[in-house]
Amino acid sequence: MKKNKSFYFSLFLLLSTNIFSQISDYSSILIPSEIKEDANSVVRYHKTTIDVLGIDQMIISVNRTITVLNKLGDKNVRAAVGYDNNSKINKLEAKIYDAFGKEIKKVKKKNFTDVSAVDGGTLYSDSRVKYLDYTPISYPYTVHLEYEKKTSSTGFLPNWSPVENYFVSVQKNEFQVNLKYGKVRIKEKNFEGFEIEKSIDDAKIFYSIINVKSFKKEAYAISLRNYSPKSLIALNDFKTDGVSGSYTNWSEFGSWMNNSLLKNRNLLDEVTKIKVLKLVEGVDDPIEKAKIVYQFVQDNTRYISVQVGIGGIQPIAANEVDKLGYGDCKGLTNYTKSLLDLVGVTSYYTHVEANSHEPVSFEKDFASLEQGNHVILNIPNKDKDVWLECTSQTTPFGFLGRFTDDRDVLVITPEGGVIKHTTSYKNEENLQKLTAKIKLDDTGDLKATLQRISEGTQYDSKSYFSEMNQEELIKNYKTNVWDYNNNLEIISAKIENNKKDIKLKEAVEVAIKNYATVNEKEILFRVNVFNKESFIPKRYRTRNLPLKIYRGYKDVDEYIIHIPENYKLEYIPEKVELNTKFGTYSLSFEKVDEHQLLYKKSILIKGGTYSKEDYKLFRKFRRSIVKLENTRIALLKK
Amino acid sequence: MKKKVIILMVLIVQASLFAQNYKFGKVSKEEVEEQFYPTDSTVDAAYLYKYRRSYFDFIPNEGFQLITNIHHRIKIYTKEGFDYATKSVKYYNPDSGESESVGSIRGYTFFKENGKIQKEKLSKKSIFKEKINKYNSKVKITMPKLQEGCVVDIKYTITSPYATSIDDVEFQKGIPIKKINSQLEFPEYYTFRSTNKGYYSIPVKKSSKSGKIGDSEYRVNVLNFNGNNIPALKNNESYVANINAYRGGVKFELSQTNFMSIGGELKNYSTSWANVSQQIFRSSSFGAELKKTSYFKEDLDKLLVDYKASTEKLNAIFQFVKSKVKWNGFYGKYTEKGVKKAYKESAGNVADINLMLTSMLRYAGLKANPVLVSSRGNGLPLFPTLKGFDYVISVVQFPDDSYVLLDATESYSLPNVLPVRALNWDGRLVKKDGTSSWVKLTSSIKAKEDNTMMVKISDDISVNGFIRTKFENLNALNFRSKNNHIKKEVLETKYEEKNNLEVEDFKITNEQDLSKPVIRRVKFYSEDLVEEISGKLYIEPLLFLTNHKNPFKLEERKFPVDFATAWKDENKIFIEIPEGYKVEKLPEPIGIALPDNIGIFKYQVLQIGNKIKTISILEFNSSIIPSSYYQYLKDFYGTLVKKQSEKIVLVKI
Repeated sequence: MKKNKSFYFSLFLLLSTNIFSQISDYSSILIPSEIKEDANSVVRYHKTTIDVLGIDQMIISVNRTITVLNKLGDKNVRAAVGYDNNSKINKLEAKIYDAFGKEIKKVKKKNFTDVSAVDGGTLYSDSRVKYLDYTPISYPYTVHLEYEKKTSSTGFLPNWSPVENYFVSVQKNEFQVNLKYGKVRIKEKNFEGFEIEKSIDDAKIFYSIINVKSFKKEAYAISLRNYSPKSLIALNDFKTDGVSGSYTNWSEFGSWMNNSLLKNRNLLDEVTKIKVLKLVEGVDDPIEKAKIVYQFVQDNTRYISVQVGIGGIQPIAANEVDKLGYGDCKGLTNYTKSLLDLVGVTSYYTHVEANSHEPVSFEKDFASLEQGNHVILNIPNKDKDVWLECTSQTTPFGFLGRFTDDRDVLVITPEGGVIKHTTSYKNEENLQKLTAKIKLDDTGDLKATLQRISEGTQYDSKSYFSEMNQEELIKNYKTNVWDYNNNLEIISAKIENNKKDIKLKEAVEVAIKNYATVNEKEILFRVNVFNKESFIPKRYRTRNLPLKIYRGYKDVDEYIIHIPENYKLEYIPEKVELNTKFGTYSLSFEKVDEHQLLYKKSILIKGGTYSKEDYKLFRKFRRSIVKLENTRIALLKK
Repeated sequence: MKKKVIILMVLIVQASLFAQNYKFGKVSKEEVEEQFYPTDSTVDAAYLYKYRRSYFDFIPNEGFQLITNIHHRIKIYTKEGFDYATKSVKYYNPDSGESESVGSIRGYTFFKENGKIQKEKLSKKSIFKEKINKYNSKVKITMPKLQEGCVVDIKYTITSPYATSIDDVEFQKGIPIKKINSQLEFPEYYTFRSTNKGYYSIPVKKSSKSGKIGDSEYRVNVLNFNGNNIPALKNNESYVANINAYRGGVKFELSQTNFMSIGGELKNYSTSWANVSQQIFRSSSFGAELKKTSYFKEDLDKLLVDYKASTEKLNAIFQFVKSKVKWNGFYGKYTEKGVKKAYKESAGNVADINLMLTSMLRYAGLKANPVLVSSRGNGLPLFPTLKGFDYVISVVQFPDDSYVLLDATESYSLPNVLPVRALNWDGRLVKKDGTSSWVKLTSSIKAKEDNTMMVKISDDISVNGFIRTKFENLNALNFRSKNNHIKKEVLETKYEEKNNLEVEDFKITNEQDLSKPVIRRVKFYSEDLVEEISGKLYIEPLLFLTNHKNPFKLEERKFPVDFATAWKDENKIFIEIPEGYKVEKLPEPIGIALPDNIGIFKYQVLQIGNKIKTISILEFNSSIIPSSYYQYLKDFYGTLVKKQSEKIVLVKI
């Protein structure tokens, strides 16, 4: 699945100015050491000024001074300005200063590097960016950037988000909106605990923050966006790419989307209509019909991201997708919706913030165009709605996966926009079951047949195996899945992707030479051949953030191990059970008969939020697991 | 008489049976219906036809321009092959100067629907132009109506005013090619030298025809490459510098222009490495840049006051350039800004920096010369072409015939310790008079890592220990450039994570003192290094330094293993036997070698008093290991991994 981030320029707009309060001393020697601590760069002063002059006229000015302390801070310079067909950069200049505040370079607009702002996954977009291509000569250095940009789109007002990233400190950041036109709505988040000043009236919004120490990134934690201060601002009446609109809540937003951007986008060619109607002939159940249509879309289209048109939010027309055989997330979703309309199944175009790392929800009480970066389709279905990812040719019907699961999204209905929550995949639902028959011989070689079935997010992370050819599949087993087993040979491998039940079944036959260590008296071998967890979370001397596990999972393993005839099982490890609030782990061995050993393992990790003190315990739990996963058994020669 | 006719008829029938229609837009039903590639059922896509014609077109008042017609017919077998229906054509389009252009783009997708072959035309909407940077643009084309089994037919034309710069003919790609036809037509005025590359070749057919400028006729030399069923060479193995170096093809380089027949002159170009070097030398962005001295004179005179001996001068200048001018990340054998500007701005590309270095060294009276290099990404410098070099370093030769190589673009480099990007076979040393000779880039100095570890096992089988690691030469360079800007506590955590330890004390010394090896000292604690099974203790002699994985897993390998440098890892481990235990078993010593002295592995575990001493040495004398040794290498590592995982067994007394 590919991400469609069409709202690029908001990224670059975060930065911003005012001639009256810029800093006069560019030396970096006097930055207080507590601000520098743990930071790779320090925003000395940043001011964004937004002048809303009319429904289709807005000027954004930025005055930014940042000191880069080391190589890792280079990327925070962000001396970059995005623009597109609706905007024009009027002024752009950067100056670079050494540690003592001496100017060492001045870069004018024409010497900024101008490139397409297309990311890897996009074929085309009219977004471009001018950036400063500077080779640092020594650290620290300071960059002062000033620019002014005029745009005719007022749909996306820059947000105030002064904490830019991890490891960046802020001495001062100011933000000002001068409203010569229109009314705005505002939503403030995470202001508590920060030194923020603000003043808001009908004509002006002003924020200022000082002395923000840099945040460290931590594993198993919520991300910066969840605790850094932010103010979201949206104009009630706006214009984007020549289309005007107005809304004050999600319901109105939905109506505007529906009436201005989605209407009449559902026309289809007659030929396609006949074809699809024929496919669903005799089928009454709406979900069954939807399955057929979804399959049709998967078979006849592919995902190509092209970001042109209204604000990057209007889908290309359904008949256009029909003709080209491709579209981006908007186009393909709208196309699927149009086909469902045709066969009499109700479905709704849905905005979502796609993000595999953590589910990001829409703000329930604050409507803005800027939220969301992807589009999926909603089919209302009693109490269990069906969600369709239309950009994939392989995803099973109704499956979302980590990209868009478990979050609030905006469903656009003819009656207006509605916030709904997408399917979540909880703990035991993300199941992997592994059963194996293993035969060990007295030279230490091993042969095994195994079956592995994956569901939920575990299906999500493995379903692509079914797209591999035999050669790739074998390589994948050898170098990724079981890379901890040297001399692994795959004798046969078969993948069955059961899209109906959303289960991936792997049947693999393997041989491993010299798996066990053979001594004169004994054979030693690691019992867990096929599902070794070796991950231990990072150790933090001081942990700052609560422990967060976004998605739990469960693995169940069962092996029957046949030992060589001339050896005996003398000692069998005791059963181990670990019970923690984060989940459970159990490991047991059972002697079936003289030559067969039954090995059972199960691990359950529970998603949730735990205190920061719990992190240590969680780490301990995972450490114990890793140790137990390496359990070896000794077989004695008879 | 009768007999002859029959034979002829049979021949005609056969010919028509097998005749394929490669005309653009004439895709056959068989092509669309083919289920998989006949000789390899696993491929996702294949070129059914890969056509190229490059010829010269005369434009009055401007001269010759190079026209290249491309026609690709691609069969797509699976959804994974869809990517081959999106083409990206890069072309030169500088902010100032003449541009190339891509035009006449046409395309069809052929697919099967209801048992019939349908076609869909490529629409203008699916063609995009994008400016990549100040030099290049690209045209992106994506084909409509893809489905498994479809065939896409695409053609376009590239027009270039840079007529003498001919793209390589590529026989081999990451997917197979059923039929290839590449034709190059050169007017008699131009002579190009062609050289084969890679592991697949197609014989050339030569012929000639005539061309016209106004009323005067001239001869056109035609080179044609026609081949069938060319297997794919995929890029899916490790330790490969650049896969394209191994794919079959032909490179072209202008060797002579001769306009004497129409009153012009004769000029010779690169026909040998000597000529290539000479030509580069003559360029104003190379040779002339070496001669400039005024911009640094004053600074250097000051600097050199304190140094008399040549090695002192060399080190002082090398250090001076490294700290004064920073690399902007761009390669190049020619200067980008020019040495003077780069010096003033303290930043430049590879040539800016290393040519500046060379001329400073010369100014100081040293015998310094530039060395042209084909960087690792650029492929092997096997054939004398201008494009064969894309990088330049500096060499200083001493009266006793010894020499040192220098690359000032990397702040942690040392004399004779170059960054990996510059380590690619041989370089070409260019002297003051433009003559040149080869010089070996991979020096005999080995990258070294030395570990000394001492551990003590407690009653509860936890382990306390100390490890000292010494990094030398390229290992020191890589360590410094990877880690010097990272905070100590982050490195400490990474070390813990990588080795599954709890670190109690972590020190790195000499990070900035390039004259000494980097030393890392770590005090650690671990509960996971000793295993107890049925009352016995099992320990891997190398503890967390054990190699558990054989890096070579694939059955066969078609190209060399490229380590970039010769190297040596040496580990010495001392384990104190805990009280109340004695040794039951120690792994046997082993010493194995690869053929032709390529590499050795020595391993020994000994009991000395109440300690167990383990010595493990792994050493490669060569940076590049030919594929003919691959099986040996794989087995060599297999033995090593097996040996290192053998345990020390301790039992209670």
